[in-house]
Amino acid sequence: MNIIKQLAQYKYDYAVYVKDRPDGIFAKIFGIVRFASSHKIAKRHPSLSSDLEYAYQFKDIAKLVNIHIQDDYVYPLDESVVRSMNKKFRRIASVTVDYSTILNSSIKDKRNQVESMPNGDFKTSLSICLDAIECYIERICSYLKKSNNIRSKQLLDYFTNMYDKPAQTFDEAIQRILFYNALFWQCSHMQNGIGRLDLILAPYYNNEIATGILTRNKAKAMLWNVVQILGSNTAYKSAGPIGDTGQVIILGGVDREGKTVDNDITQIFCEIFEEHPVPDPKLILRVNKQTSDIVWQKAIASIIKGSGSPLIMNEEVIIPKLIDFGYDKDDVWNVGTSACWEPLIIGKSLDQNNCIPNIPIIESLRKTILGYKNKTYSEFISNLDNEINCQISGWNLNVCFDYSPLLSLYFDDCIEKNKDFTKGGATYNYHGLLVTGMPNLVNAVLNVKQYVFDTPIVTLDECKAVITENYQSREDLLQLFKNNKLRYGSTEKVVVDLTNHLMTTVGNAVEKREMFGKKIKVGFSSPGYINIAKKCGASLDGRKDGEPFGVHISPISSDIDIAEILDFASMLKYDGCCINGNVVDFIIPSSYAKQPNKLASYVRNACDKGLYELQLNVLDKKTLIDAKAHPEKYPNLVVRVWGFSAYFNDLPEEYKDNLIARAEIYEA
Amino acid sequence: MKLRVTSIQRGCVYDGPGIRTTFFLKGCALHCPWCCNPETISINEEFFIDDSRCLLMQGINSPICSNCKRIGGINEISKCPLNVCENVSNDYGVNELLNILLKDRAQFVDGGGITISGGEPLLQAQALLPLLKMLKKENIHVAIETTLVAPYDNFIRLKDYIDLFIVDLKLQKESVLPPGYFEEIKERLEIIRNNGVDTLYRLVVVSSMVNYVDEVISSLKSLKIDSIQLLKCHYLGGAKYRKLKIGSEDFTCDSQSFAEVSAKISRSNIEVTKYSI
Repeated sequence: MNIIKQLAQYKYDYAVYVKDRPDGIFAKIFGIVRFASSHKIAKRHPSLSSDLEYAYQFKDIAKLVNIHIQDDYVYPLDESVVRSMNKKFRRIASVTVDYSTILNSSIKDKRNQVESMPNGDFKTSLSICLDAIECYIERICSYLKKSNNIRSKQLLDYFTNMYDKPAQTFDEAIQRILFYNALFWQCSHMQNGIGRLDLILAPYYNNEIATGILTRNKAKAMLWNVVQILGSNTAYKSAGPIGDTGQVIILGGVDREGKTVDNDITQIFCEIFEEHPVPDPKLILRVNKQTSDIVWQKAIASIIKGSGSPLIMNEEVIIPKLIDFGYDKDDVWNVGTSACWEPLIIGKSLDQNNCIPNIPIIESLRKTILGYKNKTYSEFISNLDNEINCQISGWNLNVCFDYSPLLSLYFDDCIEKNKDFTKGGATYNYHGLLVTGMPNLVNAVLNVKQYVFDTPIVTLDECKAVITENYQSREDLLQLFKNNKLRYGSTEKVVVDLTNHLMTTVGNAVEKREMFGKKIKVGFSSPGYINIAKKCGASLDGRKDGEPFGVHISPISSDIDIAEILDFASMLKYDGCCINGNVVDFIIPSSYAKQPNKLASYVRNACDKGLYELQLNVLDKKTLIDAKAHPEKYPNLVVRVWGFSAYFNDLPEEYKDNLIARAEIYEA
Repeated sequence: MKLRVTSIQRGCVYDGPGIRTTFFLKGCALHCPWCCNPETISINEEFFIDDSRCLLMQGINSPICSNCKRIGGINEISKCPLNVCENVSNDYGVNELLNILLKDRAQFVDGGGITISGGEPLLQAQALLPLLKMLKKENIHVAIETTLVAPYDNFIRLKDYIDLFIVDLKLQKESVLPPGYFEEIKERLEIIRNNGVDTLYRLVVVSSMVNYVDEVISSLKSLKIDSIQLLKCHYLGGAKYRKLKIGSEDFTCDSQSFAEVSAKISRSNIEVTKYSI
């Protein structure tokens, strides 16, 4: 690569891998130079096919990473080693390998599979990836041999076994999971899910408990090590704000035979997060009618401690919806999530569920108000439906994903189809969109209905002026629009019907679109409620230019309590393609935390009513305000942001302010 | 006959066992100066007037307000589109209220149910009775938060339909009590005990109580009370007084006094559970 191209490549890689980049041309140049000199870069091979390029980069990475033992295990993630990226490709994010296939097989098994493939670049790339993995293992074994202690000898056996044996023990299974997890991060894949650890580790755990090799306490200590290891590179792993790593451990839910996974390991993880409320990794608990009281209680105890984990995923609602959408009924038992909450199938899904800029749906209303006469309410709604259709039909869905022969080795069907994971190899390729600002849209439409059409005190021209002039000189309308009794989250028929209508309109519009020849999903819980809202003008719900949108399925009103929002959420129709995450997000005052058993019962019954997903923060406004003013007093205060948890002190100021404002609303 | 209800709160975790729906009735014979629900004292229809929402009071000129009665127009404040004026209560028919209360029936496990509060719910005994009969028929656990200060007949009429009495004792010197309060309470508590009905006792602790806690203990012993919930007095209802245009005083109990009173009562072999917001 010539020097100019190399410099351009450094600049691009610097932007990819360094988050807090200073402004100013000289600072940037200095930053790039520093990046290039302090990192070991697996350079590109642009003359090769993309699969082969990746494979050779992976082989280089295997030789460059530093090997060390961390909390009793080898987790070979080296932040100073990076893979130089092709700027045309979007990095693969938010997928979850089925680690049980890795635990139950060996590299030799994989080689045999690859050997049976037709010759070509793809097959060669898979072989080179296996070479790279063996190189890793060889270097790790060499490192371990130098240490003359029992633990190193144990780990040496585990790594030696990887060549030709499945994992034999609980400890070995943990090591193998950590090893492969590190590889996925090292190869620049983001938000790598951990999967169903209570399911896949259970056979080892049960066997060793029965034979007396393992005790519950020992297993808990080991799993706590896992949590610490996974959470030790949070800043590096974070896609956005620190904490947004997508490292999700899924607990509970049915297994392949339809039996609910509800075991010691399920409880142990909840206990760990209760005892050590860390922001990363995160837990998601799949619940159904068979989820036991004890698991519910332990989950709530963990939530109350403040980590925001686990997010509750109601599989009684979600699994049938996935089948209706098109997932095979024989696969849905293994539903997991993309990072935050968007459902996918572990081990089978490419499903990039948040790979397209989120859609600020309030913009459809802006165009409706500014561009149409809207003589009656029904005409207005019809025009709004039309604009929603236009917004979604015109939304740019173009994206080109990175290749990954490494993931192709471990996701179903890639080898059988002889196709890369991202090029049609994966079993499922149902990508997803996210809509942001639905609460604001609903509130704005309710205002138009009431104040323009039902009991006219505002004209459409005044609405136009408010939108274009950012409520300038119209403080009266700002307050009027904020104080409508009918609000998103209310169970009044007019509100529920309107919300369902708008969700259906969005769903119908999305159903007309495709990505890579496959249908796509849409969800109404988005991480973009602050950043995307910054670029959106004033809206008729009393929101000024640039102010944040409402969060997920949450009220923007102190009149709507948790009982009502849970009822509201269970009355929504998540039909067709509207399955890409629908999270009720609520902040409960800490007084509820004093009654955990009652809170557990309450949430459980809400799921029975038809809730999709739920995430809870347990916070006081007073605590948050104090933490903002005196961060040194609250080094361990963890909060739930969108789909992930973070240390409050690590959040950008606007996220802190947003949480404080929401805590105030909910406390009222 | 309708019930005048100020509020219905779902998912309550402090108003008795399990998860409960609590509804608040209007009307109370007492006027405790620290009452945090001042809108429940008078049985009459009342309105919260939230002047912070009034554009005119904020000095904002708006065509929305051009016909408001406040500036000589004909539009009543009760019709204000900015919700400056809000009726503090709704009148519900029994069946209508029952349907609302039973919405969360599935939540009423582990002893959960309905709690009737106020105000003094016993004052609306006649209207309450049919509702209680229906709740009993539905096998719903019913608790009542009461001072027991109401006509005797009202108490007798309802007592057999209550599964749990949460008795709010008025032992504060600042209370304005009817003559014979203590004897009346004693007698009614005896009736409740003889009926074998579960009872919880509550006492709001104000700062001054630290000066006469021995008298409080003596009263509790006289009432044969061996466990009590102590509620630290707060002033969260302050905004409601302002909206009702009623004067009020802040009786917030300081933490030290609360701790002292609680400790002393506890030392007298009365089991204490403390609640503070």
